[in-house]
Amino acid sequence: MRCDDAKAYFADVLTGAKRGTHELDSHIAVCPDCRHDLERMQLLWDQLGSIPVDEPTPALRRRFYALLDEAKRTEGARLPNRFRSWLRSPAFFPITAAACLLIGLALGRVGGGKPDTEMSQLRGEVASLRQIVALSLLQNQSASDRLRGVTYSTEVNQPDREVLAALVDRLNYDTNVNVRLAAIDALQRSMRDPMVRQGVRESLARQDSPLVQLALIELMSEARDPQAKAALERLTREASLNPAVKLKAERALLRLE
Amino acid sequence: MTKVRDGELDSLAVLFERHHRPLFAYFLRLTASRSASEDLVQEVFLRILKYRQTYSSGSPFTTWMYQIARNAQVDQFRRSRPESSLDEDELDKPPVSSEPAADQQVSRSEEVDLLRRALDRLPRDKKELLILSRFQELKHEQIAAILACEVNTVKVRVYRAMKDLAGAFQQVMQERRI
Repeated sequence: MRCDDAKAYFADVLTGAKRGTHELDSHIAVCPDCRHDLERMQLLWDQLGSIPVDEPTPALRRRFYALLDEAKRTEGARLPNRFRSWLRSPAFFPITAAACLLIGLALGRVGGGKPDTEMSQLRGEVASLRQIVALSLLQNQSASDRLRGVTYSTEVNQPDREVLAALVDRLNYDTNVNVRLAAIDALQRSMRDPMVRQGVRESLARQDSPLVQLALIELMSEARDPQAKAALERLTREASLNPAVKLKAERALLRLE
Repeated sequence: MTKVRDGELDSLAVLFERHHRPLFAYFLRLTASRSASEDLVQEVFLRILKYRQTYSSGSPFTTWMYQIARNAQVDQFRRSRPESSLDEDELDKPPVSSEPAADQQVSRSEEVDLLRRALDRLPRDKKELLILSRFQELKHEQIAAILACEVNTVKVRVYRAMKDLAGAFQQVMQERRI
Protein backbone atom coordinates (compact mmCIF):
# COMPACT_ATOMS: atom_id res chain seq x y z
CA MET A 1 0.00 0.00 0.00
CA ARG A 2 1.22 3.47 -0.90
CA CYS A 3 0.95 6.48 1.43
CA ASP A 4 -1.81 8.08 -0.71
CA ASP A 5 -3.85 4.87 -0.56
CA ALA A 6 -3.42 4.69 3.20
CA LYS A 7 -4.60 8.28 3.70
CA ALA A 8 -7.84 7.50 1.91
CA TYR A 9 -8.76 5.39 4.96
CA PHE A 10 -7.89 8.02 7.57
CA ALA A 11 -11.34 9.67 7.61
CA ASP A 12 -12.97 6.27 8.19
CA VAL A 13 -10.57 5.51 11.04
CA LEU A 14 -11.19 8.93 12.65
CA THR A 15 -14.97 8.69 12.54
CA GLY A 16 -14.91 5.09 13.66
CA ALA A 17 -16.73 4.08 10.51
CA LYS A 18 -14.05 1.50 9.87
CA ARG A 19 -11.18 0.04 11.84
CA GLY A 20 -7.85 0.04 10.08
CA THR A 21 -7.62 -2.69 7.50
CA HIS A 22 -4.85 -5.25 7.60
CA GLU A 23 -3.18 -3.46 4.69
CA LEU A 24 -3.41 -0.09 6.45
CA ASP A 25 -2.04 -1.54 9.68
CA SER A 26 0.86 -3.08 7.78
CA HIS A 27 1.60 0.21 6.05
CA ILE A 28 1.39 2.22 9.28
CA ALA A 29 3.78 -0.22 10.92
CA VAL A 30 6.47 0.49 8.36
CA CYS A 31 5.76 4.15 7.43
CA PRO A 32 6.63 6.58 10.24
CA ASP A 33 5.23 9.59 8.31
CA CYS A 34 1.76 8.07 7.94
CA ARG A 35 1.83 6.77 11.51
CA HIS A 36 2.73 10.23 12.80
CA ASP A 37 0.03 11.82 10.60
CA LEU A 38 -2.69 9.45 11.78
CA GLU A 39 -1.71 9.70 15.45
CA ARG A 40 -1.67 13.49 15.31
CA MET A 41 -5.05 13.58 13.58
CA GLN A 42 -6.54 11.09 16.00
CA LEU A 43 -5.39 13.20 18.94
CA LEU A 44 -6.75 16.37 17.36
CA TRP A 45 -10.04 14.63 16.51
CA ASP A 46 -10.45 13.62 20.14
CA GLN A 47 -9.53 17.11 21.36
CA LEU A 48 -12.19 18.64 19.09
CA GLY A 49 -14.76 16.81 21.17
CA SER A 50 -13.76 18.88 24.19
CA ILE A 51 -14.80 22.17 22.58
CA PRO A 52 -18.01 23.04 24.45
CA VAL A 53 -21.03 24.59 22.81
CA ASP A 54 -23.61 26.86 24.41
CA GLU A 55 -27.26 25.97 24.80
CA PRO A 56 -29.90 28.08 23.03
CA THR A 57 -31.90 30.50 25.17
CA PRO A 58 -35.52 29.65 26.16
CA ALA A 59 -36.60 32.37 23.71
CA LEU A 60 -35.87 29.99 20.84
CA ARG A 61 -38.44 27.48 22.08
CA ARG A 62 -41.00 30.25 22.68
CA ARG A 63 -40.48 31.61 19.17
CA PHE A 64 -40.82 28.16 17.65
CA TYR A 65 -44.10 27.39 19.42
CA ALA A 66 -45.47 30.82 18.43
CA LEU A 67 -44.54 29.97 14.85
CA LEU A 68 -46.21 26.58 15.14
CA ASP A 69 -49.39 28.06 16.64
CA GLU A 70 -49.54 30.61 13.87
CA ALA A 71 -49.05 27.93 11.23
CA LYS A 72 -51.79 25.80 12.78
CA ARG A 73 -54.15 28.76 12.91
CA THR A 74 -53.56 29.46 9.23
CA GLU A 75 -53.82 25.78 8.36
CA GLY A 76 -56.81 25.19 10.62
CA ALA A 77 -58.61 28.12 9.03
CA ARG A 78 -58.45 26.26 5.76
CA LEU A 79 -59.67 22.83 6.82
CA PRO A 80 -59.82 20.97 10.14
CA ASN A 81 -57.80 17.79 10.63
CA ARG A 82 -60.79 15.49 10.29
CA PHE A 83 -61.60 17.00 6.90
CA ARG A 84 -58.02 16.84 5.69
CA SER A 85 -57.73 13.16 6.51
CA TRP A 86 -61.14 12.60 4.95
CA LEU A 87 -60.07 14.36 1.76
CA ARG A 88 -57.00 12.13 1.61
CA SER A 89 -58.89 8.94 2.25
CA PRO A 90 -59.46 6.55 -0.68
CA ALA A 91 -63.20 6.60 0.00
CA PHE A 92 -63.45 10.35 -0.62
CA PHE A 93 -63.94 10.38 -4.38
CA PRO A 94 -66.49 7.53 -4.79
CA ILE A 95 -68.57 8.69 -1.81
CA THR A 96 -68.48 12.31 -2.89
CA ALA A 97 -69.47 11.31 -6.43
CA ALA A 98 -72.39 9.24 -5.08
CA ALA A 99 -73.46 12.09 -2.80
CA CYS A 100 -73.36 14.57 -5.71
CA LEU A 101 -75.46 12.19 -7.80
CA LEU A 102 -78.06 11.79 -5.05
CA ILE A 103 -78.22 15.53 -4.43
CA GLY A 104 -78.60 16.09 -8.17
CA LEU A 105 -81.43 13.54 -8.36
CA ALA A 106 -83.15 15.03 -5.32
CA LEU A 107 -82.91 18.55 -6.72
CA GLY A 108 -84.19 17.29 -10.05
CA ARG A 109 -87.20 15.65 -8.36
CA VAL A 110 -87.96 18.73 -6.32
CA GLY A 111 -87.72 20.69 -9.59
CA GLY A 112 -88.82 24.23 -9.03
CA GLY A 113 -88.93 23.92 -5.25
CA LYS A 114 -89.42 27.12 -3.31
CA PRO A 115 -86.25 29.17 -2.76
CA ASP A 116 -87.04 29.30 0.98
CA THR A 117 -86.85 25.51 1.22
CA GLU A 118 -83.47 25.48 -0.50
CA MET A 119 -82.19 28.24 1.76
CA SER A 120 -83.26 26.45 4.91
CA GLN A 121 -81.68 23.25 3.60
CA LEU A 122 -78.47 25.15 2.92
CA ARG A 123 -78.55 26.69 6.39
CA GLY A 124 -78.99 23.25 7.87
CA GLU A 125 -75.99 21.97 5.95
CA VAL A 126 -73.83 24.91 7.09
CA ALA A 127 -74.88 24.35 10.71
CA SER A 128 -74.06 20.67 10.39
CA LEU A 129 -70.66 21.54 8.92
CA ARG A 130 -69.95 23.92 11.81
CA GLN A 131 -70.78 21.20 14.30
CA ILE A 132 -68.35 18.81 12.61
CA VAL A 133 -65.63 21.46 12.66
CA ALA A 134 -66.34 22.25 16.31
CA LEU A 135 -66.21 18.56 17.27
CA SER A 136 -62.97 18.09 15.39
CA LEU A 137 -61.34 21.09 17.07
CA LEU A 138 -62.59 20.09 20.53
CA GLN A 139 -60.66 16.86 20.22
CA ASN A 140 -57.44 18.55 19.16
CA GLN A 141 -54.22 18.24 21.17
CA SER A 142 -53.59 21.96 21.12
CA ALA A 143 -55.38 24.02 23.80
CA SER A 144 -55.73 26.98 21.43
CA ASP A 145 -57.47 24.72 18.91
CA ARG A 146 -59.81 23.38 21.57
CA LEU A 147 -60.63 26.96 22.55
CA ARG A 148 -61.44 27.68 18.92
CA GLY A 149 -63.59 24.56 18.90
CA VAL A 150 -65.60 25.89 21.86
CA THR A 151 -66.03 29.24 20.10
CA TYR A 152 -67.07 27.47 16.91
CA SER A 153 -69.71 25.51 18.82
CA THR A 154 -71.32 28.78 19.96
CA GLU A 155 -71.83 29.76 16.31
CA VAL A 156 -74.24 26.85 15.89
CA ASN A 157 -77.82 27.89 16.67
CA GLN A 158 -78.86 24.59 18.17
CA PRO A 159 -75.87 22.40 18.90
CA ASP A 160 -76.67 18.69 18.70
CA ARG A 161 -76.21 16.16 21.52
CA GLU A 162 -72.76 15.17 20.30
CA VAL A 163 -71.45 18.74 20.48
CA LEU A 164 -73.06 19.32 23.89
CA ALA A 165 -71.56 16.08 25.20
CA ALA A 166 -68.15 17.15 23.86
CA LEU A 167 -68.46 20.49 25.64
CA VAL A 168 -69.39 18.79 28.92
CA ASP A 169 -66.46 16.45 28.39
CA ARG A 170 -64.08 19.44 27.93
CA LEU A 171 -65.57 21.00 31.07
CA ASN A 172 -64.86 17.86 33.06
CA TYR A 173 -61.55 16.72 31.72
CA ASP A 174 -59.69 19.49 29.92
CA THR A 175 -56.32 20.17 31.49
CA ASN A 176 -56.49 23.82 30.46
CA VAL A 177 -58.53 26.11 32.74
CA ASN A 178 -59.27 28.55 29.90
CA VAL A 179 -60.85 25.78 27.83
CA ARG A 180 -62.98 24.72 30.80
CA LEU A 181 -64.11 28.32 31.39
CA ALA A 182 -64.93 28.75 27.71
CA ALA A 183 -66.92 25.50 27.79
CA ILE A 184 -68.98 26.87 30.71
CA ASP A 185 -69.79 30.01 28.68
CA ALA A 186 -70.71 27.89 25.68
CA LEU A 187 -73.00 25.64 27.74
CA GLN A 188 -74.85 28.56 29.30
CA ARG A 189 -77.44 28.82 26.52
CA SER A 190 -78.11 25.07 26.61
CA MET A 191 -78.92 24.87 30.33
CA ARG A 192 -82.49 23.91 29.54
CA ASP A 193 -81.20 20.60 28.27
CA PRO A 194 -81.41 18.04 31.16
CA MET A 195 -78.21 16.34 29.99
CA VAL A 196 -76.28 19.62 30.20
CA ARG A 197 -77.78 20.47 33.61
CA GLN A 198 -76.77 17.09 34.95
CA GLY A 199 -73.29 17.38 33.40
CA VAL A 200 -72.77 20.80 34.99
CA ARG A 201 -73.97 19.58 38.41
CA GLU A 202 -71.67 16.57 38.35
CA SER A 203 -68.77 18.64 37.10
CA LEU A 204 -68.71 20.84 40.19
CA ALA A 205 -67.24 18.06 42.31
CA ARG A 206 -64.48 17.41 39.75
CA GLN A 207 -63.13 20.95 39.61
CA ASP A 208 -60.08 22.07 41.55
CA SER A 209 -59.73 25.56 40.09
CA PRO A 210 -61.61 28.24 42.12
CA LEU A 211 -62.16 30.19 38.88
CA VAL A 212 -63.96 27.27 37.28
CA GLN A 213 -65.88 26.56 40.51
CA LEU A 214 -67.07 30.19 40.65
CA ALA A 215 -68.16 30.13 37.00
CA LEU A 216 -70.05 26.84 37.52
CA ILE A 217 -71.85 28.14 40.60
CA GLU A 218 -72.84 31.27 38.67
CA LEU A 219 -74.10 29.11 35.82
CA MET A 220 -76.23 26.90 38.09
CA SER A 221 -77.54 29.90 39.98
CA GLU A 222 -78.52 31.73 36.76
CA ALA A 223 -80.22 28.60 35.43
CA ARG A 224 -82.17 28.28 38.70
CA ASP A 225 -81.60 24.58 38.70
CA PRO A 226 -83.22 23.26 41.95
CA GLN A 227 -81.34 19.97 41.67
CA ALA A 228 -78.07 21.90 41.94
CA LYS A 229 -78.65 22.43 45.66
CA ALA A 230 -77.26 19.04 46.64
CA ALA A 231 -74.06 19.62 44.64
CA LEU A 232 -73.63 23.08 46.14
CA GLU A 233 -74.21 21.85 49.69
CA ARG A 234 -71.62 19.13 49.22
CA LEU A 235 -69.17 21.75 47.94
CA THR A 236 -69.67 24.06 50.92
CA ARG A 237 -68.83 21.18 53.26
CA GLU A 238 -65.34 20.79 51.76
CA ALA A 239 -62.76 21.83 54.33
CA SER A 240 -60.18 23.08 51.84
CA LEU A 241 -62.64 25.14 49.81
CA ASN A 242 -61.56 28.61 48.75
CA PRO A 243 -63.43 31.20 50.96
CA ALA A 244 -64.63 33.17 47.92
CA VAL A 245 -66.03 30.01 46.36
CA LYS A 246 -67.72 29.07 49.63
CA LEU A 247 -69.37 32.47 49.91
CA LYS A 248 -70.56 32.32 46.30
CA ALA A 249 -71.96 28.81 46.82
CA GLU A 250 -73.83 29.86 49.97
CA ARG A 251 -75.37 32.83 48.14
CA ALA A 252 -76.36 30.58 45.25
CA LEU A 253 -78.01 28.20 47.70
CA LEU A 254 -80.04 31.07 49.18
CA ARG A 255 -81.10 32.08 45.68
CA LEU A 256 -82.20 28.56 44.85
CA GLU A 257 -84.26 28.24 48.04
CA MET B 1 -41.88 14.37 9.02
CA THR B 2 -44.33 12.44 6.90
CA LYS B 3 -47.06 13.36 9.42
CA VAL B 4 -46.08 17.05 9.24
CA ARG B 5 -46.16 16.89 5.45
CA ASP B 6 -49.64 15.34 5.61
CA GLY B 7 -50.99 18.16 7.76
CA GLU B 8 -50.33 17.03 11.34
CA LEU B 9 -48.41 20.15 12.24
CA ASP B 10 -48.17 19.23 15.93
CA SER B 11 -45.65 16.55 14.94
CA LEU B 12 -43.23 19.33 14.05
CA ALA B 13 -42.85 19.97 17.78
CA VAL B 14 -41.39 16.46 18.16
CA LEU B 15 -38.84 17.21 15.42
CA PHE B 16 -38.03 20.56 17.00
CA GLU B 17 -37.42 19.03 20.42
CA ARG B 18 -35.17 16.37 18.87
CA HIS B 19 -33.14 18.55 16.55
CA HIS B 20 -33.08 22.17 17.68
CA ARG B 21 -30.06 21.81 19.98
CA PRO B 22 -27.79 20.08 17.41
CA LEU B 23 -28.94 22.60 14.80
CA PHE B 24 -28.19 25.50 17.11
CA ALA B 25 -24.73 24.04 17.81
CA TYR B 26 -24.12 23.65 14.07
CA PHE B 27 -24.97 27.29 13.38
CA LEU B 28 -23.15 28.58 16.45
CA ARG B 29 -19.94 26.84 15.39
CA LEU B 30 -20.31 28.24 11.90
CA THR B 31 -21.33 31.79 12.74
CA ALA B 32 -19.98 32.31 16.29
CA SER B 33 -23.12 34.37 16.93
CA ARG B 34 -25.80 33.21 19.37
CA SER B 35 -28.53 35.49 18.09
CA ALA B 36 -27.82 34.67 14.45
CA SER B 37 -27.82 30.95 15.29
CA GLU B 38 -31.20 31.15 17.03
CA ASP B 39 -32.60 33.11 14.08
CA LEU B 40 -31.27 30.43 11.74
CA VAL B 41 -32.82 27.57 13.73
CA GLN B 42 -36.15 29.39 13.57
CA GLU B 43 -35.64 29.95 9.84
CA VAL B 44 -34.96 26.24 9.30
CA PHE B 45 -38.22 25.22 10.96
CA LEU B 46 -40.08 27.91 9.06
CA ARG B 47 -38.67 26.52 5.81
CA ILE B 48 -39.53 22.97 6.86
CA LEU B 49 -43.15 24.10 7.25
CA LYS B 50 -43.09 26.05 4.03
CA TYR B 51 -41.53 23.35 1.90
CA ARG B 52 -42.95 20.30 3.70
CA GLN B 53 -44.67 19.09 0.56
CA THR B 54 -41.25 18.59 -1.06
CA TYR B 55 -40.20 16.03 1.56
CA SER B 56 -40.29 12.50 0.21
CA SER B 57 -41.20 9.71 2.62
CA GLY B 58 -38.24 7.41 2.03
CA SER B 59 -35.47 9.96 2.44
CA PRO B 60 -33.76 10.52 5.80
CA PHE B 61 -35.12 13.59 7.58
CA THR B 62 -31.76 14.63 9.08
CA THR B 63 -30.14 14.90 5.65
CA TRP B 64 -33.05 16.93 4.31
CA MET B 65 -32.99 19.20 7.36
CA TYR B 66 -29.25 19.90 7.02
CA GLN B 67 -29.70 20.71 3.35
CA ILE B 68 -32.27 23.31 4.40
CA ALA B 69 -29.96 24.47 7.20
CA ARG B 70 -27.05 24.96 4.79
CA ASN B 71 -29.20 26.94 2.37
CA ALA B 72 -30.55 29.10 5.19
CA GLN B 73 -27.03 29.78 6.42
CA VAL B 74 -25.72 30.61 2.94
CA ASP B 75 -28.63 33.04 2.43
CA GLN B 76 -27.96 34.64 5.79
CA PHE B 77 -24.23 34.85 5.01
CA ARG B 78 -24.94 36.59 1.72
CA ARG B 79 -27.34 39.03 3.37
CA SER B 80 -24.97 39.99 6.16
CA ARG B 81 -21.44 39.92 4.85
CA PRO B 82 -20.42 42.85 7.07
CA GLU B 83 -21.34 40.69 10.07
CA SER B 84 -19.02 37.96 8.90
CA SER B 85 -16.12 40.39 8.93
CA LEU B 86 -17.02 41.07 12.55
CA ASP B 87 -16.63 37.38 13.22
CA GLU B 88 -13.19 37.48 11.65
CA ASP B 89 -12.30 40.39 13.92
CA GLU B 90 -13.45 38.26 16.79
CA LEU B 91 -11.02 35.55 15.73
CA ASP B 92 -8.11 37.95 15.83
CA LYS B 93 -8.71 38.73 19.46
CA PRO B 94 -6.29 37.02 21.80
CA PRO B 95 -7.80 33.97 23.46
CA VAL B 96 -9.31 34.67 26.85
CA SER B 97 -6.77 32.65 28.79
CA SER B 98 -3.73 32.92 26.56
CA GLU B 99 -1.32 34.49 29.00
CA PRO B 100 1.70 32.22 29.00
CA ALA B 101 2.17 30.31 32.20
CA ALA B 102 5.56 30.32 33.85
CA ASP B 103 6.34 26.81 32.76
CA GLN B 104 4.87 27.32 29.26
CA GLN B 105 2.51 24.43 29.83
CA VAL B 106 -0.79 24.66 27.96
CA SER B 107 -3.72 24.09 30.29
CA ARG B 108 -6.75 22.21 29.08
CA SER B 109 -8.94 25.29 28.81
CA GLU B 110 -6.18 27.09 26.89
CA GLU B 111 -5.90 24.13 24.59
CA VAL B 112 -9.62 24.31 23.86
CA ASP B 113 -9.33 28.03 23.11
CA LEU B 114 -6.40 27.45 20.78
CA LEU B 115 -8.16 24.61 19.05
CA ARG B 116 -11.24 26.76 18.56
CA ARG B 117 -9.07 29.48 17.03
CA ALA B 118 -7.39 26.96 14.77
CA LEU B 119 -10.78 25.68 13.62
CA ASP B 120 -11.94 29.21 12.91
CA ARG B 121 -8.90 29.80 10.75
CA LEU B 122 -9.91 27.06 8.33
CA PRO B 123 -11.59 28.03 5.07
CA ARG B 124 -15.37 28.03 5.44
CA ASP B 125 -15.97 24.80 3.45
CA LYS B 126 -13.42 22.83 5.46
CA LYS B 127 -14.70 24.14 8.75
CA GLU B 128 -18.25 23.21 7.79
CA LEU B 129 -17.16 19.73 6.76
CA LEU B 130 -15.48 19.12 10.12
CA ILE B 131 -18.53 20.49 11.97
CA LEU B 132 -20.80 18.10 10.10
CA SER B 133 -18.49 15.14 10.58
CA ARG B 134 -17.04 15.65 14.05
CA PHE B 135 -19.64 17.68 15.93
CA GLN B 136 -22.90 16.78 14.24
CA GLU B 137 -21.64 13.19 13.94
CA LEU B 138 -23.12 12.69 10.51
CA LYS B 139 -21.99 9.71 8.46
CA HIS B 140 -19.94 10.25 5.33
CA GLU B 141 -22.90 9.08 3.26
CA GLN B 142 -25.17 11.71 4.86
CA ILE B 143 -22.57 14.45 4.34
CA ALA B 144 -22.20 13.39 0.72
CA ALA B 145 -25.97 13.73 0.27
CA ILE B 146 -25.99 17.15 1.95
CA LEU B 147 -23.04 18.46 -0.07
CA ALA B 148 -24.17 16.68 -3.25
CA CYS B 149 -20.86 14.92 -3.85
CA GLU B 150 -19.38 11.40 -3.78
CA VAL B 151 -18.73 9.63 -0.48
CA ASN B 152 -15.04 9.19 -1.36
CA THR B 153 -14.80 12.92 -2.02
CA VAL B 154 -16.10 13.55 1.51
CA LYS B 155 -13.48 11.22 2.96
CA VAL B 156 -10.65 12.93 1.08
CA ARG B 157 -11.96 16.35 2.12
CA VAL B 158 -12.20 15.30 5.78
CA TYR B 159 -8.59 14.12 5.64
CA ARG B 160 -7.45 17.40 4.06
CA ALA B 161 -9.47 19.49 6.50
CA MET B 162 -7.91 17.61 9.43
CA LYS B 163 -4.45 18.07 7.97
CA ASP B 164 -5.08 21.81 7.63
CA LEU B 165 -6.47 21.93 11.14
CA ALA B 166 -3.33 20.27 12.46
CA GLY B 167 -1.26 22.92 10.68
CA ALA B 168 -3.43 25.77 11.98
CA PHE B 169 -3.29 24.37 15.52
CA GLN B 170 0.50 24.22 15.39
CA GLN B 171 0.54 27.80 14.17
CA VAL B 172 -1.64 29.16 17.00
CA MET B 173 0.45 27.22 19.51
CA GLN B 174 3.60 28.87 18.17
CA GLU B 175 1.96 32.31 18.25
CA ARG B 176 1.04 31.72 21.87
CA ARG B 177 4.64 30.95 22.79
CA ILE B 178 5.96 34.16 21.16
